[in-house]
Amino acid sequence: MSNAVARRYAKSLSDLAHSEGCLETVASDLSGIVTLMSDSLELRSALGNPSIPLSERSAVLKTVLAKLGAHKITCNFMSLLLDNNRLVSLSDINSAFEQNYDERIGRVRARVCSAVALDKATLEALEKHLLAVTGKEQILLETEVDASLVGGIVTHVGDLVFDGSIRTQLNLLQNKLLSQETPAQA
Amino acid sequence: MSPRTVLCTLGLTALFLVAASDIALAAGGAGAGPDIPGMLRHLLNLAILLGFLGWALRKPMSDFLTSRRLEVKEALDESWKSKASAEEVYQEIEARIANFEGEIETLMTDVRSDADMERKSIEERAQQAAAQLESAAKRSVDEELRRARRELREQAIGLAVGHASALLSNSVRDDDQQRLTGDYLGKVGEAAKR
Repeated sequence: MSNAVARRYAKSLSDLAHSEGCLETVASDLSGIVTLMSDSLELRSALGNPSIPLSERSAVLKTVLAKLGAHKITCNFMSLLLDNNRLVSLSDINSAFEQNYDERIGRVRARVCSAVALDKATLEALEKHLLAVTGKEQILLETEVDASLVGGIVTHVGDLVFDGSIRTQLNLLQNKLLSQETPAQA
Repeated sequence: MSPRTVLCTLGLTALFLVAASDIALAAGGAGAGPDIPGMLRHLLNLAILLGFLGWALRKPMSDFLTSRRLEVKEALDESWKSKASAEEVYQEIEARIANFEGEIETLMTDVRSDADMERKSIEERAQQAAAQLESAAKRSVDEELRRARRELREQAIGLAVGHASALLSNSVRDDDQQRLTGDYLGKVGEAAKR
């Protein structure tokens, strides 16, 4: 499925959930279902197997959703995806929905990658600065530790990148050295 | 010759033969001596016959002779022309034979000149080809040299940066990380102010 189709599904769900006042609940449900399906190969196989009758797959889905305590809108949306054979694109739909949800509540997601784990005070200071940079009301930090950075932090916020890692500095140094002409080349 | 003329000629010829036979009979049959009056009469007949033949055949004979004369004249002219042409050819051959040595010398000179020009042309082309080959070989060697230098340089820089990265990984301590984090927050804070 193309991203455009996933965005259309996500926007429809977001509009409906927003009008019903259960946007956060549906977002949580959808995130939980995506996590469950990515963790469970059996569930993915059962729901995506066309040799199993649709009625049986629908029953399985309803049982899972009932156990998760999903909202009615979430249940109907998942049934629609199953009927339209769009469950394979659930991850894309969820990403588009989260983006839509973030825009609705004025939230932005930031991915913070550091060479060592960051303490709470650092994260709070970074969150404060990023809110000022983006002008959003909320920010959701997703942290990650990557030792290959050697030192420093790299933060992605939407299209913005704040890169303070030693690895990037070394890469810049290498590119600079490579771009310089030697006397023989000149 | 017209049919009328032919008929007249045939008639007179027959008359002449009759007269001739009478003369023969008269000459053989008398036996006592020559019959002078008879001979005269026959001679007269003969003269008349000859005169008549001369008168009757005058025009055709004249035409025939004129035509014949023209033919002979044309043949003679043609012979003269052929002779003149043959003489010209003969003179030309004579002249060529006389100049044969000179022509051979001229021919040899031309051949030598052409051969010299061809040799020079071949030498020039060979020199140009050799110069082009030399130039191409030099360019190829220069390019290979540049490529080898570039690759060596890239490898050296890559190794240097790799070693630097390894050294830094082992030497960056917690207080360095704290300092890097503080610098980073400062830069993001400055971006937020802008």
